[in-house]
Amino acid sequence: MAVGIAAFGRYAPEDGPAPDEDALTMALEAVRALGALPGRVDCLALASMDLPGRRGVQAGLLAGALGLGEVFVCEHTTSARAGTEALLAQWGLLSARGGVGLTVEVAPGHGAAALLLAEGGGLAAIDGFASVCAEDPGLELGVPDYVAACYTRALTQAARCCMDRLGTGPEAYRHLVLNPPVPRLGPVAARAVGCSAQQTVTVAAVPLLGLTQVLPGAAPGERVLLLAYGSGSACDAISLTVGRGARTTGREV
Amino acid sequence: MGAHITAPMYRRSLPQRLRLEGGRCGACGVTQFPPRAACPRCRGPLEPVRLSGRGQVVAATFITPAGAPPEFAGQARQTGGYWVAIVALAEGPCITAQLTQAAAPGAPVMAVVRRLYEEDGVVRYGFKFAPQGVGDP
Repeated sequence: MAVGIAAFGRYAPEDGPAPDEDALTMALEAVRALGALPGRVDCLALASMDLPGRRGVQAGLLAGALGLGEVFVCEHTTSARAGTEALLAQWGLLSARGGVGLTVEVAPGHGAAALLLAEGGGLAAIDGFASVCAEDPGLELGVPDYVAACYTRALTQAARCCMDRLGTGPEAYRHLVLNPPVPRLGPVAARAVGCSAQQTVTVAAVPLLGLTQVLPGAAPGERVLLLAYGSGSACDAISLTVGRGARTTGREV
Repeated sequence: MGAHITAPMYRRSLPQRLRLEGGRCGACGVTQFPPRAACPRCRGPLEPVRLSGRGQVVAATFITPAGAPPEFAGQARQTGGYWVAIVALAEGPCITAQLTQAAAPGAPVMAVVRRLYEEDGVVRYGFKFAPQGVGDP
């Protein structure tokens, strides 16, 4: 049975995080919003551009607070696409070995999103993905035209590759989720990918926050194209199909 | 004078600080938090139990920067002060903890894990109480 999203939780405080909140406490809030966890979670993946601790396994706090003892923990950091990196790694692991996984992504200044992955998870299925990576030195200098060119190139390449593999086109997707390095690049990138005004474009600080923003409003059968960019010029394009229950609840019904 | 909690002491108390793990007496059913070695009522053994985190404010007071203990002095300076409350947990015990925002006596609250302070190079996390929201599971 295919591994899919069985539940999701989202924590995005309207006024931004309080001074006593950090990536780990927000991750816990997102998991709390997800609802009661199953009796056993085999894999816990924590993704964030920054984590508060200097060393050690930061996700240990999550595992401890959630009461997960025998769990494989991994962390994905220093990238704006850490969330999709974690999601794909966990999806691959669970597809190979079975079990239940929890992927949590935090945008330190914005909030956190949690996805529970399990065999037969019916809120959203992962149809397939494609990733590209290029060496584009100097992105940190922030030269607008250069950043825009690198972003658009990586995004369109990953999106086309993903759609080619699945035999779909831009018109197959009702929702597009983006995390552009600058918000104004969102519409530009959507046009470059081939999306029209009929499709909703969600721009989020990190990809999984965007996905959990889209899922409650998506109807069963609609497709979501999640395009995450970061780590220099790496881009993940993930195609998802929304299942029953996502519109009304964060949990599979 | 604040309460100095060493890193090993903090580590030993993590089940209580992060999961609200208390103790329930198998003989008379009373719930204790934090857990003790034996039931104070009937001396029976206590079994670990995870509390729900739901409770009700019994009393609350505002701590100004001048009144904050050393470990919370930074937080008090940064925020101008903070609320501390006695909360009656749904399972029975009454405990003292910070509130994330003002709440009147009788208000329903829910335990959330927050960053408390840093000492000996270790960030200390623990529970505070936030108003119970519509989205609470």
